[in-house]
Amino acid sequence: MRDSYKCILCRGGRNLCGKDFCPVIMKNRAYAKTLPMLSDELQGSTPPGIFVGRYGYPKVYIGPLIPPYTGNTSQLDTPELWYGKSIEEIVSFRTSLVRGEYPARVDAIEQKDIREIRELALAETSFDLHAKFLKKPNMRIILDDNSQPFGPSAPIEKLEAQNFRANPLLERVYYDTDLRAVDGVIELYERGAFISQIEKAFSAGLIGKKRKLVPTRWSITAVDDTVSKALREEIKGYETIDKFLVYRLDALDNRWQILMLPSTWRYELIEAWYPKTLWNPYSSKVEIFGDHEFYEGRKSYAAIGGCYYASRLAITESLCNMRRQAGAVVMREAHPGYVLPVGVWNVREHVRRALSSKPEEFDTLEQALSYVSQHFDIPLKRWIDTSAIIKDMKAQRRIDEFI
Amino acid sequence: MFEAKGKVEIFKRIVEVVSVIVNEVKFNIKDDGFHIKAVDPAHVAMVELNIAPQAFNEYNAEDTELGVDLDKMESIIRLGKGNDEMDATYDEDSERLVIRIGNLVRKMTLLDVSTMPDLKIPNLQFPAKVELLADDFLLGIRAAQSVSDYVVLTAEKDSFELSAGTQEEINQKFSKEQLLSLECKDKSRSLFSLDYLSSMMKGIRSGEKLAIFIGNDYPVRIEFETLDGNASVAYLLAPRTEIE
Repeated sequence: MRDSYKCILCRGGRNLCGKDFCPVIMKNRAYAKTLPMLSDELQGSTPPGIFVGRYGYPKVYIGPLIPPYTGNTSQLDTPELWYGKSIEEIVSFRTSLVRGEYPARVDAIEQKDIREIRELALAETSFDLHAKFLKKPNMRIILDDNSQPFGPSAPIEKLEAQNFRANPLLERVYYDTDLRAVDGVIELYERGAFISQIEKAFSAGLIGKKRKLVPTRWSITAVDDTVSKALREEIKGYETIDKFLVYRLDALDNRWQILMLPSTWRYELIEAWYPKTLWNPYSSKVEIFGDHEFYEGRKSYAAIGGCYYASRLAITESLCNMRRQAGAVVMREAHPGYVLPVGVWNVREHVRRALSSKPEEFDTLEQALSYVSQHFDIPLKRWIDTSAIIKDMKAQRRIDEFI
Repeated sequence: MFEAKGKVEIFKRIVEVVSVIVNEVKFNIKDDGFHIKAVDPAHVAMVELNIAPQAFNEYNAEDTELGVDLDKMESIIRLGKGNDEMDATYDEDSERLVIRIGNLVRKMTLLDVSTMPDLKIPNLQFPAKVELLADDFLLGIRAAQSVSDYVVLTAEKDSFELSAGTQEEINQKFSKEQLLSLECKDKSRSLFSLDYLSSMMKGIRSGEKLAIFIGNDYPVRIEFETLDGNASVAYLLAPRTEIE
């Protein structure tokens, strides 16, 4: 049967695509809650959140995220608080947020309307916004593997913000125009800001010497990359771990296993997608793919995408806390219940969560791999054949073997 | 007790040779010179460095062990020019290494040597020994890096060969006449990581003469002299097994 017919014949009732539940119905159900509450005017509390689009760069759209209700809405735009939520809950958080859209050149940051929208990202807590739109918000939803889902949108005619209190940390970086963007990002991270907060401030052009708007999708990876690079250099000064460690976590029908190796820094992310999962809709075979770096890091962008950097952030963060150096192989088996992309936060937060559990310890690579294979459906050989780091570890002999 | 005076260049060279393997090392200081043995954190590569007192203008030492962070040492040495005089003295009272370049004084805290055990050096018997100029070997390593992560070194009775790659291939073959010397009892062939070999090459300078010892699926030992013959260096690198 042609794939394009499947949905028409099935209409959510016959499970023809093989997914655990129907993504079309899920999206519509989430919208059904939000849409009746929408008109061309909206009063609600922004978490705070803003969105910068990437289409048409350097002429993009920027705007606040506003749900059709007031109160403490900070959870809606803070992926750090989503662990343990179902895909349905996360999608409903996101579809309840209406994106205002205001056209902006990325370098026109001092233009009054644009500056006002940018400064919303400084807010410490959620606060009320009143938006008047040129037309009623549309049904479009943005789904991709990098950014969290974004809901309905409408062009802004007028925006009124209640007074809000700025986050002092963000504010200081905002007013320090001599601070380089890289240093600003790292300072915010070291002082305990959430990655999602830094990413919003970076996207809104609130950090650095030469500021501009950065599309949300790019800014997520830029922040993950910047912070994890700094942490990576820090861990290179620490002693290596002396055992093989395996961490595990199951969440959102993804199985995560992280193998830490007693070696100098090296890192790999391997993802295996079952047939009928999000990024493997057409093939009947498991697709498995990875990207890696050795001690010196990468020179080119990881083909596997933003998830590589999000997971590297979680790994380097954990090693810094341990004050240890290691090699790390992050393995993800995505099963058919994972039907909608929810963004790289899924990778970052789940790897973080996995690493906060107590690992199993092993003396040899073989023991560690045999433990890993117990919890994956895909045979160990496929993981090893895909992994540059594990293959290298198996092939490289040690001086001690010759003593 | 330890005090050494000499050109900045000498200290630069010590840091250069050792830091390609590891950044934190123990200097074993004796009246017959400096001795450093260090292994990289992954236990794949090793360096041995012996420096005679003649390398320095003045040298006074009794048995001393100093744990040195080479990054720190490099950060001060970098400020001097090669021909500047440098003085390194161990201050026993404050347990610091005092480095003077001109009127610049850097007092450097040291690492705890009790956590840095003496290394066991494997006792290896190599069936083959090749001598050649560093420049020739470096050329082959650079070429190999453009096609692969690994290189095969092979010695036969009358040739030495470096090869890499499967689809895209590099091959550099030296006949006995193109080498400074070649001794080979049996054909010897081993595979090595270019990551490691190429970083070792950063510790070797153009014009230096290398003695390369190899075996079958066996480590490689690369020896050379530096600092006008007043220092001898040996790198040791464990092999990789053949890829299936």
